[in-house]
Amino acid sequence: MIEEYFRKRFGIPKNIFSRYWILEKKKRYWIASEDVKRADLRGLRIEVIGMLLARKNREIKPTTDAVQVFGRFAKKNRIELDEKQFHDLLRGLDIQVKAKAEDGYVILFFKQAPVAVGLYRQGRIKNVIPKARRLKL
Amino acid sequence: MKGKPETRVQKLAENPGRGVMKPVIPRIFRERYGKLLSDKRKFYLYCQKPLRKSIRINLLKSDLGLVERLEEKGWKLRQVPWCRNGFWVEKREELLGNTPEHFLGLYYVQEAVSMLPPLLLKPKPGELVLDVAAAPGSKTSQLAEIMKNRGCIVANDPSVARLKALRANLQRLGVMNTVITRMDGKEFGRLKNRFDRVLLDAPCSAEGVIRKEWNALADWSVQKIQRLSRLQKKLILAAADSLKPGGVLVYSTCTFAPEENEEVIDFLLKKRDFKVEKPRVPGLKSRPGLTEWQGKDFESQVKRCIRIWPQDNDTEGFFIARLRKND
Repeated sequence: MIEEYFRKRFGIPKNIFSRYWILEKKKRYWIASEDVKRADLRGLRIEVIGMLLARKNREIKPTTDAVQVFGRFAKKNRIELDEKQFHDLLRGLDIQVKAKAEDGYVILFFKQAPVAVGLYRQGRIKNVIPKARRLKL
Repeated sequence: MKGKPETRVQKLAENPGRGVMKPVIPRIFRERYGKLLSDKRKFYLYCQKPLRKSIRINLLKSDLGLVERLEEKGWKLRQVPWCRNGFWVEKREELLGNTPEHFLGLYYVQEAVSMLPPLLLKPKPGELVLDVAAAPGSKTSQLAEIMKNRGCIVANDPSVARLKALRANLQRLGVMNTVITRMDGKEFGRLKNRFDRVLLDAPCSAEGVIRKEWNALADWSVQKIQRLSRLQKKLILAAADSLKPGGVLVYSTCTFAPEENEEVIDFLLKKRDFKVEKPRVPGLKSRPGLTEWQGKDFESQVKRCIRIWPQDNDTEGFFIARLRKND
Protein backbone atom coordinates (compact mmCIF):
# COMPACT_ATOMS: atom_id res chain seq x y z
CA MET A 1 0.00 0.00 0.00
CA ILE A 2 1.44 3.31 -1.09
CA GLU A 3 -0.12 5.25 1.83
CA GLU A 4 1.84 2.98 4.18
CA TYR A 5 5.05 3.86 2.33
CA PHE A 6 4.44 7.61 2.74
CA ARG A 7 3.68 7.11 6.43
CA LYS A 8 6.78 5.02 7.12
CA ARG A 9 9.24 6.94 5.00
CA PHE A 10 8.05 10.52 5.52
CA GLY A 11 5.63 10.40 8.43
CA ILE A 12 2.77 11.62 6.25
CA PRO A 13 -0.45 10.57 8.02
CA LYS A 14 -2.54 8.10 6.03
CA ASN A 15 -5.68 10.15 6.40
CA ILE A 16 -4.15 12.83 4.15
CA PHE A 17 -4.90 10.48 1.27
CA SER A 18 -8.38 9.47 2.38
CA ARG A 19 -10.05 12.15 0.27
CA TYR A 20 -8.31 10.95 -2.88
CA TRP A 21 -8.59 8.01 -5.22
CA ILE A 22 -5.33 6.07 -5.57
CA LEU A 23 -4.84 3.66 -8.45
CA GLU A 24 -2.04 1.19 -9.02
CA LYS A 25 -1.17 0.10 -12.52
CA LYS A 26 2.01 -1.39 -13.96
CA LYS A 27 4.24 -0.40 -11.04
CA ARG A 28 2.90 3.12 -11.03
CA TYR A 29 0.64 4.83 -8.54
CA TRP A 30 -1.77 7.56 -9.59
CA ILE A 31 -3.70 9.92 -7.38
CA ALA A 32 -6.92 11.69 -8.31
CA SER A 33 -9.56 13.76 -6.57
CA GLU A 34 -12.23 11.60 -4.96
CA ASP A 35 -14.94 12.99 -7.25
CA VAL A 36 -13.22 11.41 -10.26
CA LYS A 37 -14.06 7.97 -8.86
CA ARG A 38 -17.75 8.79 -8.88
CA ALA A 39 -17.79 10.28 -12.39
CA ASP A 40 -19.47 8.40 -15.22
CA LEU A 41 -16.49 7.45 -17.40
CA ARG A 42 -18.15 4.75 -19.51
CA GLY A 43 -17.23 4.71 -23.18
CA LEU A 44 -14.05 6.79 -22.77
CA ARG A 45 -10.62 5.62 -23.94
CA ILE A 46 -8.63 6.65 -20.90
CA GLU A 47 -4.88 7.26 -21.00
CA VAL A 48 -4.27 8.72 -17.56
CA ILE A 49 -6.30 9.32 -14.40
CA GLY A 50 -5.12 12.06 -12.05
CA MET A 51 -1.48 12.73 -11.21
CA LEU A 52 1.46 10.32 -11.09
CA LEU A 53 2.17 9.87 -7.38
CA ALA A 54 5.06 7.40 -7.38
CA ARG A 55 6.89 4.75 -9.40
CA LYS A 56 7.90 1.38 -8.03
CA ASN A 57 11.08 -0.24 -9.26
CA ARG A 58 13.49 -1.72 -6.74
CA GLU A 59 12.17 0.85 -4.35
CA ILE A 60 9.35 3.34 -4.43
CA LYS A 61 10.14 6.81 -5.76
CA PRO A 62 7.64 9.63 -5.26
CA THR A 63 7.35 12.12 -8.14
CA THR A 64 8.48 15.73 -7.97
CA ASP A 65 4.95 16.90 -8.78
CA ALA A 66 3.41 14.82 -6.01
CA VAL A 67 5.81 15.95 -3.29
CA GLN A 68 5.19 19.57 -4.26
CA VAL A 69 1.57 18.91 -3.28
CA PHE A 70 1.84 16.42 -0.40
CA GLY A 71 5.37 17.05 0.90
CA ARG A 72 4.24 19.69 3.38
CA PHE A 73 2.76 16.92 5.55
CA ALA A 74 6.12 15.17 5.87
CA LYS A 75 7.64 14.95 9.35
CA LYS A 76 10.90 13.17 8.56
CA ASN A 77 13.39 12.60 5.77
CA ARG A 78 12.93 16.19 4.76
CA ILE A 79 15.86 18.48 4.10
CA GLU A 80 15.78 22.27 3.94
CA LEU A 81 17.99 23.79 1.23
CA ASP A 82 19.55 27.23 1.18
CA GLU A 83 19.28 29.45 -1.88
CA LYS A 84 22.49 28.25 -3.50
CA GLN A 85 21.61 24.61 -2.95
CA PHE A 86 18.13 25.19 -4.37
CA HIS A 87 19.57 26.76 -7.51
CA ASP A 88 22.07 23.94 -7.88
CA LEU A 89 19.20 21.50 -7.55
CA LEU A 90 17.23 23.22 -10.32
CA ARG A 91 20.31 23.16 -12.54
CA GLY A 92 20.59 19.40 -12.13
CA LEU A 93 23.61 19.27 -9.83
CA ASP A 94 24.16 16.98 -6.86
CA ILE A 95 24.25 18.69 -3.47
CA GLN A 96 26.32 18.27 -0.30
CA VAL A 97 24.28 18.74 2.87
CA LYS A 98 24.97 18.73 6.58
CA ALA A 99 21.45 17.67 7.52
CA LYS A 100 20.87 14.04 8.42
CA ALA A 101 18.36 11.69 6.87
CA GLU A 102 17.96 7.96 6.32
CA ASP A 103 19.52 6.78 3.07
CA GLY A 104 16.96 6.80 0.27
CA TYR A 105 14.49 9.31 -1.14
CA VAL A 106 14.03 12.56 0.75
CA ILE A 107 11.78 15.57 0.29
CA LEU A 108 13.66 18.80 -0.34
CA PHE A 109 12.34 22.11 0.95
CA PHE A 110 13.16 25.70 0.13
CA LYS A 111 11.75 28.48 2.32
CA GLN A 112 9.55 25.86 4.01
CA ALA A 113 7.89 24.82 0.76
CA PRO A 114 8.40 21.31 -0.67
CA VAL A 115 10.13 21.62 -4.02
CA ALA A 116 11.44 18.24 -5.17
CA VAL A 117 12.60 14.72 -4.41
CA GLY A 118 16.27 13.87 -3.92
CA LEU A 119 18.18 10.66 -3.33
CA TYR A 120 20.10 10.98 -0.06
CA ARG A 121 23.19 8.99 0.77
CA GLN A 122 25.74 9.89 3.43
CA GLY A 123 25.59 13.64 3.31
CA ARG A 124 25.06 13.87 -0.41
CA ILE A 125 21.88 14.40 -2.41
CA LYS A 126 21.86 12.86 -5.85
CA ASN A 127 19.84 14.95 -8.28
CA VAL A 128 16.86 13.02 -9.64
CA ILE A 129 14.98 15.87 -11.27
CA PRO A 130 13.98 14.81 -14.79
CA LYS A 131 16.36 16.36 -17.37
CA ALA A 132 13.55 18.07 -19.23
CA ARG A 133 12.59 20.02 -16.14
CA ARG A 134 16.00 21.33 -15.19
CA LEU A 135 16.65 25.04 -15.51
CA LYS A 136 19.48 27.12 -16.89
CA LEU A 137 20.20 29.51 -14.07
CA MET B 1 -3.38 20.75 -47.29
CA LYS B 2 -1.46 23.20 -49.45
CA GLY B 3 -2.99 26.00 -51.46
CA LYS B 4 -1.51 27.27 -54.71
CA PRO B 5 1.81 29.03 -54.30
CA GLU B 6 0.14 32.34 -54.73
CA THR B 7 1.78 34.56 -52.16
CA ARG B 8 5.17 35.71 -51.05
CA VAL B 9 4.57 33.76 -47.87
CA GLN B 10 4.98 30.37 -49.46
CA LYS B 11 8.26 31.45 -50.99
CA LEU B 12 9.51 32.40 -47.58
CA ALA B 13 8.21 29.16 -46.13
CA GLU B 14 10.16 27.27 -48.76
CA ASN B 15 13.34 29.14 -47.83
CA PRO B 16 13.63 28.54 -44.13
CA GLY B 17 17.20 29.79 -44.22
CA ARG B 18 15.92 33.30 -44.65
CA GLY B 19 14.28 34.25 -41.38
CA VAL B 20 10.96 36.04 -41.53
CA MET B 21 11.69 39.40 -39.92
CA LYS B 22 8.14 40.67 -40.16
CA PRO B 23 4.87 38.81 -40.40
CA VAL B 24 3.80 38.54 -43.98
CA ILE B 25 0.14 39.18 -44.51
CA PRO B 26 -1.21 37.65 -47.74
CA ARG B 27 -3.16 39.91 -50.07
CA ILE B 28 -6.29 37.75 -49.93
CA PHE B 29 -6.16 37.89 -46.16
CA ARG B 30 -6.13 41.71 -46.27
CA GLU B 31 -9.01 41.73 -48.74
CA ARG B 32 -11.15 39.41 -46.64
CA TYR B 33 -10.87 41.28 -43.35
CA GLY B 34 -10.29 44.81 -44.57
CA LYS B 35 -13.97 44.95 -45.54
CA LEU B 36 -15.10 44.09 -42.03
CA LEU B 37 -13.16 46.78 -40.29
CA SER B 38 -13.39 50.54 -40.20
CA ASP B 39 -10.01 50.48 -38.45
CA LYS B 40 -8.24 48.09 -40.81
CA ARG B 41 -4.95 50.01 -40.75
CA LYS B 42 -4.82 49.70 -37.01
CA PHE B 43 -5.57 46.00 -37.42
CA TYR B 44 -2.64 45.43 -39.81
CA LEU B 45 -0.41 47.48 -37.54
CA TYR B 46 -1.27 45.37 -34.50
CA CYS B 47 -0.79 42.17 -36.48
CA GLN B 48 2.84 43.22 -36.88
CA LYS B 49 3.37 44.23 -33.27
CA PRO B 50 4.99 41.55 -31.11
CA LEU B 51 2.61 40.15 -28.53
CA ARG B 52 3.09 41.10 -24.88
CA LYS B 53 3.47 38.05 -22.69
CA SER B 54 1.14 37.14 -19.89
CA ILE B 55 0.94 34.63 -17.07
CA ARG B 56 -1.84 33.15 -15.01
CA ILE B 57 -0.99 32.59 -11.37
CA ASN B 58 -1.97 29.02 -10.53
CA LEU B 59 -4.29 29.27 -7.56
CA LEU B 60 -4.08 25.51 -7.00
CA LYS B 61 -0.49 25.95 -5.82
CA SER B 62 0.01 29.65 -5.20
CA ASP B 63 -1.81 32.77 -4.08
CA LEU B 64 -1.78 36.28 -5.45
CA GLY B 65 1.05 37.14 -3.06
CA LEU B 66 3.26 35.76 -5.83
CA VAL B 67 2.81 39.10 -7.64
CA GLU B 68 4.70 40.89 -4.89
CA ARG B 69 7.41 38.23 -4.72
CA LEU B 70 8.00 38.43 -8.48
CA GLU B 71 8.09 42.22 -8.36
CA GLU B 72 10.70 42.03 -5.62
CA LYS B 73 12.82 40.12 -8.14
CA GLY B 74 12.50 42.99 -10.60
CA TRP B 75 9.48 41.88 -12.61
CA LYS B 76 6.80 44.35 -13.55
CA LEU B 77 3.31 42.92 -13.75
CA ARG B 78 0.07 44.45 -14.91
CA GLN B 79 -3.37 43.08 -14.08
CA VAL B 80 -5.41 41.56 -16.91
CA PRO B 81 -8.76 43.29 -16.25
CA TRP B 82 -10.93 40.25 -16.98
CA CYS B 83 -8.99 37.63 -14.99
CA ARG B 84 -8.15 38.27 -11.33
CA ASN B 85 -5.08 36.00 -11.46
CA GLY B 86 -3.95 37.00 -14.98
CA PHE B 87 -1.05 39.42 -15.44
CA TRP B 88 0.87 40.90 -18.31
CA VAL B 89 4.61 40.72 -17.77
CA GLU B 90 5.93 44.13 -18.72
CA LYS B 91 9.42 43.58 -17.42
CA ARG B 92 11.26 40.52 -16.28
CA GLU B 93 14.82 39.39 -15.73
CA GLU B 94 14.38 35.78 -16.82
CA LEU B 95 12.76 33.65 -19.50
CA LEU B 96 9.24 32.87 -18.32
CA GLY B 97 9.70 29.13 -18.68
CA ASN B 98 13.06 29.08 -16.90
CA THR B 99 12.35 30.24 -13.36
CA PRO B 100 12.03 28.45 -10.02
CA GLU B 101 8.43 29.66 -9.80
CA HIS B 102 7.64 28.05 -13.15
CA PHE B 103 9.33 24.83 -12.04
CA LEU B 104 7.14 24.85 -8.93
CA GLY B 105 3.99 25.27 -11.02
CA LEU B 106 3.11 28.59 -9.43
CA TYR B 107 2.16 30.14 -12.78
CA TYR B 108 1.38 29.20 -16.35
CA VAL B 109 2.40 31.23 -19.41
CA GLN B 110 -0.97 31.91 -21.00
CA GLU B 111 -2.24 34.51 -23.44
CA ALA B 112 -4.59 36.99 -21.77
CA VAL B 113 -7.53 36.32 -24.11
CA SER B 114 -7.13 32.58 -23.82
CA MET B 115 -8.07 32.97 -20.14
CA LEU B 116 -11.60 33.86 -21.26
CA PRO B 117 -13.12 30.53 -22.41
CA PRO B 118 -12.77 28.81 -18.98
CA LEU B 119 -14.09 31.93 -17.22
CA LEU B 120 -17.10 31.99 -19.53
CA LEU B 121 -17.72 28.25 -19.16
CA LYS B 122 -17.88 28.89 -15.39
CA PRO B 123 -17.73 25.26 -14.19
CA LYS B 124 -18.76 24.46 -10.59
CA PRO B 125 -16.63 22.32 -8.28
CA GLY B 126 -18.68 19.10 -8.40
CA GLU B 127 -19.45 19.00 -12.11
CA LEU B 128 -18.46 16.68 -14.94
CA VAL B 129 -16.78 18.77 -17.63
CA LEU B 130 -15.44 17.87 -21.07
CA ASP B 131 -12.51 19.69 -22.68
CA VAL B 132 -12.58 18.34 -26.23
CA ALA B 133 -9.23 19.69 -27.47
CA ALA B 134 -7.30 20.09 -24.24
CA ALA B 135 -3.58 20.06 -25.09
CA PRO B 136 -1.30 21.66 -24.04
CA GLY B 137 -3.48 22.29 -21.00
CA SER B 138 -3.66 26.03 -20.27
CA LYS B 139 -7.44 26.06 -20.31
CA THR B 140 -7.82 22.62 -18.68
CA SER B 141 -5.68 23.68 -15.74
CA GLN B 142 -7.63 26.90 -15.46
CA LEU B 143 -10.88 24.89 -15.40
CA ALA B 144 -9.40 22.73 -12.62
CA GLU B 145 -8.46 25.88 -10.74
CA ILE B 146 -11.99 27.29 -11.02
CA MET B 147 -13.36 23.90 -9.86
CA LYS B 148 -10.89 23.86 -6.93
CA ASN B 149 -9.60 20.46 -8.06
CA ARG B 150 -13.02 18.91 -7.46
CA GLY B 151 -15.54 17.31 -9.78
CA CYS B 152 -14.06 15.77 -12.89
CA ILE B 153 -12.66 17.08 -16.16
CA VAL B 154 -12.32 14.78 -19.15
CA ALA B 155 -9.31 16.32 -20.91
CA ASN B 156 -9.11 14.97 -24.43
CA ASP B 157 -6.71 15.29 -27.32
CA PRO B 158 -6.29 13.01 -30.32
CA SER B 159 -2.51 13.47 -30.63
CA VAL B 160 -0.04 11.37 -28.61
CA ALA B 161 2.67 14.04 -28.71
CA ARG B 162 0.31 16.75 -27.53
CA LEU B 163 -0.99 14.49 -24.75
CA LYS B 164 2.50 14.21 -23.36
CA ALA B 165 2.70 17.98 -22.98
CA LEU B 166 -0.80 18.07 -21.55
CA ARG B 167 0.05 15.50 -18.92
CA ALA B 168 3.29 17.23 -17.93
CA ASN B 169 1.59 20.61 -17.62
CA LEU B 170 -1.35 19.33 -15.57
CA GLN B 171 1.02 17.54 -13.21
CA ARG B 172 3.25 20.56 -12.80
CA LEU B 173 0.23 22.67 -11.88
CA GLY B 174 -1.00 20.14 -9.32
CA VAL B 175 -4.19 19.25 -11.18
CA MET B 176 -5.81 16.08 -9.83
CA ASN B 177 -9.39 16.13 -11.07
CA THR B 178 -8.69 15.15 -14.67
CA VAL B 179 -9.07 12.04 -16.77
CA ILE B 180 -6.96 12.27 -19.90
CA THR B 181 -8.40 10.57 -22.97
CA ARG B 182 -7.12 10.13 -26.51
CA MET B 183 -10.14 10.17 -28.77
CA ASP B 184 -11.29 11.78 -31.96
CA GLY B 185 -13.45 14.67 -30.75
CA LYS B 186 -16.23 13.54 -33.08
CA GLU B 187 -16.67 10.39 -30.98
CA PHE B 188 -18.05 12.27 -27.97
CA GLY B 189 -21.42 12.52 -29.69
CA ARG B 190 -22.00 8.90 -28.63
CA LEU B 191 -21.97 9.91 -24.95
CA LYS B 192 -25.42 11.44 -25.10
CA ASN B 193 -26.36 14.03 -22.44
CA ARG B 194 -23.35 13.12 -20.28
CA PHE B 195 -21.54 16.36 -19.38
CA ASP B 196 -22.62 19.36 -17.32
CA ARG B 197 -20.38 21.65 -19.38
CA VAL B 198 -18.28 21.31 -22.51
CA LEU B 199 -15.39 23.43 -23.76
CA LEU B 200 -14.62 23.18 -27.47
CA ASP B 201 -11.52 25.27 -28.09
CA ALA B 202 -11.47 24.10 -31.66
CA PRO B 203 -8.54 23.34 -33.95
CA CYS B 204 -8.49 26.36 -36.25
CA SER B 205 -6.46 28.24 -38.83
CA ALA B 206 -4.95 30.28 -35.97
CA GLU B 207 -4.89 33.61 -37.81
CA GLY B 208 -5.16 35.35 -34.46
CA VAL B 209 -1.77 34.14 -33.23
CA ILE B 210 0.17 36.00 -35.93
CA ARG B 211 1.64 38.36 -33.33
CA LYS B 212 3.18 35.42 -31.52
CA GLU B 213 4.16 33.31 -34.52
CA TRP B 214 5.06 35.50 -37.41
CA ASN B 215 4.83 32.70 -39.90
CA ALA B 216 1.33 31.73 -38.68
CA LEU B 217 0.01 32.60 -42.13
CA ALA B 218 2.74 30.73 -44.01
CA ASP B 219 0.41 27.99 -45.19
CA TRP B 220 -2.74 30.07 -44.97
CA SER B 221 -5.36 29.54 -47.63
CA VAL B 222 -9.10 29.79 -48.02
CA GLN B 223 -9.19 26.05 -48.78
CA LYS B 224 -7.61 25.35 -45.42
CA ILE B 225 -10.22 27.50 -43.71
CA GLN B 226 -13.00 25.63 -45.47
CA ARG B 227 -11.55 22.27 -44.51
CA LEU B 228 -11.30 23.34 -40.87
CA SER B 229 -14.84 24.71 -40.97
CA ARG B 230 -16.16 21.29 -42.01
CA LEU B 231 -14.25 19.65 -39.15
CA GLN B 232 -15.45 22.24 -36.62
CA LYS B 233 -19.07 21.64 -37.60
CA LYS B 234 -18.68 17.93 -36.89
CA LEU B 235 -16.94 18.65 -33.60
CA ILE B 236 -19.56 21.11 -32.39
CA LEU B 237 -22.40 18.67 -33.08
CA ALA B 238 -20.59 15.94 -31.14
CA ALA B 239 -19.87 18.37 -28.29
CA ALA B 240 -23.51 19.48 -28.31
CA ASP B 241 -24.85 15.93 -28.14
CA SER B 242 -22.55 15.00 -25.25
CA LEU B 243 -23.92 17.92 -23.20
CA LYS B 244 -26.80 17.56 -20.72
CA PRO B 245 -29.98 19.55 -21.47
CA GLY B 246 -29.62 22.92 -19.76
CA GLY B 247 -25.83 22.61 -19.91
CA VAL B 248 -23.36 25.16 -21.25
CA LEU B 249 -21.08 24.78 -24.27
CA VAL B 250 -18.31 27.29 -24.93
CA TYR B 251 -16.91 27.32 -28.46
CA SER B 252 -13.74 29.29 -29.12
CA THR B 253 -11.07 29.76 -31.78
CA CYS B 254 -8.03 31.98 -32.20
CA THR B 255 -8.94 32.91 -35.75
CA PHE B 256 -10.84 35.65 -37.59
CA ALA B 257 -12.36 33.52 -40.37
CA PRO B 258 -16.18 33.70 -40.17
CA GLU B 259 -16.32 30.22 -41.78
CA GLU B 260 -14.71 28.88 -38.59
CA ASN B 261 -16.68 31.05 -36.21
CA GLU B 262 -20.16 32.45 -36.90
CA GLU B 263 -20.82 29.91 -39.66
CA VAL B 264 -20.13 27.05 -37.21
CA ILE B 265 -22.46 28.56 -34.58
CA ASP B 266 -25.16 29.17 -37.20
CA PHE B 267 -24.82 25.53 -38.27
CA LEU B 268 -25.30 24.34 -34.67
CA LEU B 269 -28.36 26.55 -34.17
CA LYS B 270 -29.94 25.08 -37.30
CA LYS B 271 -29.20 21.46 -36.32
CA ARG B 272 -29.77 21.47 -32.55
CA ASP B 273 -31.88 23.34 -29.99
CA PHE B 274 -29.44 25.83 -28.47
CA LYS B 275 -29.42 29.50 -27.61
CA VAL B 276 -26.51 31.90 -27.67
CA GLU B 277 -25.87 33.77 -24.43
CA LYS B 278 -24.12 37.08 -24.54
CA PRO B 279 -21.02 37.07 -22.33
CA ARG B 280 -20.43 40.08 -20.12
CA VAL B 281 -16.77 40.60 -19.44
CA PRO B 282 -15.76 43.72 -17.49
CA GLY B 283 -12.70 45.43 -18.89
CA LEU B 284 -12.77 43.64 -22.26
CA LYS B 285 -13.46 45.39 -25.51
CA SER B 286 -15.17 43.03 -27.93
CA ARG B 287 -17.30 43.28 -31.04
CA PRO B 288 -20.48 41.37 -31.90
CA GLY B 289 -20.54 38.28 -34.08
CA LEU B 290 -21.21 38.84 -37.79
CA THR B 291 -24.66 38.07 -39.13
CA GLU B 292 -23.58 38.01 -42.75
CA TRP B 293 -20.49 36.85 -44.62
CA GLN B 294 -19.92 36.64 -48.36
CA GLY B 295 -23.62 36.55 -49.13
CA LYS B 296 -24.52 34.02 -46.42
CA ASP B 297 -26.92 35.19 -43.69
CA PHE B 298 -26.59 33.82 -40.17
CA GLU B 299 -29.25 33.56 -37.46
CA SER B 300 -29.58 36.85 -35.61
CA GLN B 301 -28.60 35.23 -32.29
CA VAL B 302 -25.11 34.81 -33.70
CA LYS B 303 -24.42 38.47 -32.99
CA ARG B 304 -24.29 37.55 -29.27
CA CYS B 305 -20.97 35.80 -29.92
CA ILE B 306 -17.91 37.92 -29.29
CA ARG B 307 -15.05 38.81 -31.63
CA ILE B 308 -11.83 40.04 -30.10
CA TRP B 309 -9.58 41.85 -32.57
CA PRO B 310 -5.89 42.36 -31.72
CA GLN B 311 -6.18 46.15 -31.82
CA ASP B 312 -9.01 46.26 -29.24
CA ASN B 313 -7.16 45.01 -26.15
CA ASP B 314 -3.60 44.62 -27.48
CA THR B 315 -3.92 40.81 -27.43
CA GLU B 316 -4.21 37.91 -29.84
CA GLY B 317 -7.30 37.63 -31.98
CA PHE B 318 -10.10 35.45 -30.61
CA PHE B 319 -13.71 34.35 -31.08
CA ILE B 320 -15.99 33.00 -28.34
CA ALA B 321 -19.57 31.75 -28.23
CA ARG B 322 -21.37 30.81 -25.02
CA LEU B 323 -24.21 28.43 -25.85
CA ARG B 324 -26.90 26.86 -23.69
CA LYS B 325 -28.65 23.64 -24.61
CA ASN B 326 -32.40 24.08 -24.26
CA ASP B 327 -34.21 21.61 -21.95
